[in-house]
Amino acid sequence: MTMKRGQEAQTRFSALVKALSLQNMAIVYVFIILCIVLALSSDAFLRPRNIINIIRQASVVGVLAIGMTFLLSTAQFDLAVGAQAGFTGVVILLLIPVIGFIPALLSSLGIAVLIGLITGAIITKIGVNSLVTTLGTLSIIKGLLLVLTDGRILRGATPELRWFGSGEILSIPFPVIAFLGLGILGEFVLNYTRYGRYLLAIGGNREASKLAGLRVDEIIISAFVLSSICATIGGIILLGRIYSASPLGGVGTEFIAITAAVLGGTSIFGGEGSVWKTVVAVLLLQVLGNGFNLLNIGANYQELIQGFIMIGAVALYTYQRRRQ
Amino acid sequence: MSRSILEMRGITKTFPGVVALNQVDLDVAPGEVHAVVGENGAGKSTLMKILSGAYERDAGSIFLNGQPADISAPADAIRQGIGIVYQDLPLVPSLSVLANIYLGREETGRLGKIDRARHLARFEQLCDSFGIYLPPDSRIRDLSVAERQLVEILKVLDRDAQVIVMDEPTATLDQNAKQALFQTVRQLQAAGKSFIFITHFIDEIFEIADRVTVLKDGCRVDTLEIDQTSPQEVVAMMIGHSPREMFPEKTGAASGRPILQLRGIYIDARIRDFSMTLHQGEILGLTGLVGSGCSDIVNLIIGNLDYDRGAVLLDGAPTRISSPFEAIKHGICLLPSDRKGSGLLLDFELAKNVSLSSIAKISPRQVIQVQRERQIASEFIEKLRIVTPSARQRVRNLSGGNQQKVVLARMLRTDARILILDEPTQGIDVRAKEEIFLLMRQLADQGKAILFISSEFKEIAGVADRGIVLRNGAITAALDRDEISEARLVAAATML
Repeated sequence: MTMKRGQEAQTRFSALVKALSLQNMAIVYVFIILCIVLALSSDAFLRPRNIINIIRQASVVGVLAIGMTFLLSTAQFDLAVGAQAGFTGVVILLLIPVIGFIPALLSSLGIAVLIGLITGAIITKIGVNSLVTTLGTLSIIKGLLLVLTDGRILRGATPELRWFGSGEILSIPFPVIAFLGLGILGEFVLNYTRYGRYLLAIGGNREASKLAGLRVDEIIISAFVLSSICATIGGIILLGRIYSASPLGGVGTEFIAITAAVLGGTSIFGGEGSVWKTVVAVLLLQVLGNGFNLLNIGANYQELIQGFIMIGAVALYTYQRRRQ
Repeated sequence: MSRSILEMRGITKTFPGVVALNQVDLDVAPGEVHAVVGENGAGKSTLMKILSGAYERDAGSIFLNGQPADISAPADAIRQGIGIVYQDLPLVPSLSVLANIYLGREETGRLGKIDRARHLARFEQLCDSFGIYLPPDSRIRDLSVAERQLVEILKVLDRDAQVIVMDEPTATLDQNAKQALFQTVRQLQAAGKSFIFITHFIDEIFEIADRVTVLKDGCRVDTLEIDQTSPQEVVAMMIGHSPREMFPEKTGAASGRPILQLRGIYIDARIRDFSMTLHQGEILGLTGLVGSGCSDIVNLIIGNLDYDRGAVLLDGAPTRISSPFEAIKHGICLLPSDRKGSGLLLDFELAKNVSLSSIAKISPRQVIQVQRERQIASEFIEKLRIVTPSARQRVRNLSGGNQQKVVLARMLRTDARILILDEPTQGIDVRAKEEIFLLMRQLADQGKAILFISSEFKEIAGVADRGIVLRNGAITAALDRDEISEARLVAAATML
């Protein structure tokens, strides 16, 4: 009995060692090192104001990346979420004068659910793959943006809307609360609930999951709906932050979102996903940009460096997995 | 001796723990069709993989036209006139017949442009000289299985194959296509080509072969002139006097309540008039060769495949099961034959694999109770004697037998009353097999109804209370408990 308990303690210890290993935590260690470097080289970096600012700036991409992590866990992805965030702003600004603030907000969420349902249904029920389907929806949404705005920037954000960009609860800005809150909620759902388990199982082996009695198609569709809702929440924050909606708003953020999720160790082949590491990766990318500003390196370098980091991180994961 | 075009002498091959081939001889005369038969695991494919250069032999030699041949890679075999027509026909579906035949050996003109005219001329000459016709520009995906086979044959003929190995060529062909194939083989035979014909169908070798070599457990039993033997003699040699494996005693209740009935099922042209009744407390065996339709029946029962005609009855009431999700709700659970592809989440820990189908019961609310999940897995580790360091081990790192027990544990957690075990012993060692057979019997004694699908006739005969044999989508035998024997199962599956 004591033997067994000793063994158990040992497995628990080795599990902890494994959880903290470079392979599992590389992104976190890189993030910590980067923060230390920046803190040492610039007094401004650790000021609460700067930290809050970094998180707020990261919030739109962050919320999108959280949704993307859910999708990637099931071995799907959605290229249209960035455009969808921009689309949300346009829809809300066009609807407020017609139906009022709250109904406009609810409508945008309703549209999100609809887009998720349709995308998911095309992918699961008809069997078109997610790359092609979401390239299509991306183009449709971008097209709709141009049609609805006639290529112009829409203004007219109401004070209520601005609250989503800069309103504070207990002196913490709403975008920060939304981003970190969704991160915690997402991590909990993905790794501690039945629903999350189903998502990961489907990503790990869709056929086995189906034969084990999971409602594979419905669960995948639900992941698209969730991601779509995240995109809309991101869009609302974006609208609240920049007070206007442009026909190009949000377009392109999906790639940063995918980059972040992948950096966080979520496999694009599904089966593995970590929301909290996605959050860390989003912050890493933001801190990188922030650091460039503080150190007076041109922000132009950001995307360049971002690309190298992404390939480096994935090469590391892949290499270590193959060696196993 | 020197009259043989191909001679294999004393071929021996061992894998860790198994002697796959032991001093096997095979010789093939010019223009001969030489059949090689044997049960699963007799060594047929290993022998052919050595001939094709896919495996290296441990001992023995190969002679071509009396000269020692050095075959250590597939390219060597092709260069020396050995052509293999694989069962799964490795062609590129989206490319044309012509493109497939010359794939990797394209003749090119200026600027590297593929010289289609030259290919076409060679192709037509090839077709003419062997009396084969195929549309050169059709895509492979638009061709029938029989036509694809012809493409493969043309491919090896174009490389000047003298000995053509065909692995189970008729398993997926209908009667007409089979006759057409035999006609082609006879034409090529007349042109001096030799064939090695790997098959399970004993009656066919009496139609097409000149001689037959029987393998059993890695040894050559005998080589016989076809007109001096009979199907019965060949089957008897294949089965031999197997050492008795440890099968549990058959105690299946003969009078159990019928739970699952299939009546007059038709699926396309694949399954014709299939009926069966599965009773509580029994193990019903379902067997047949590759392509016989057993997997269609499995898919139909779990709602993965629709049927055109017939009825499925659960507890006597007609029931439509349209997905595995519904099947599990009705208490039907499947252990899939492809353990890694459709059974396991290889990178998930053992406990998560066990709980996959029953997690709602383990954690009635959304939050997963991890401790309880692991505790349940531990109980199964003990009960099924799964060898693993802990319930948290990734199943990828377990042996085949232990992986299979993990899938079994998942099934048992669902409290299903109808268990469908599709090739549960594939790729697992003898000890694990015995344990699984014993477990199946215990489950049947507890009142579960078990449908046991296997292509190992010995296992069906040894384990099942009753047996059904399929061939080409139709039942060729339904054997009751006093009738079931390996010889009868083999006869029904392999002879018309």
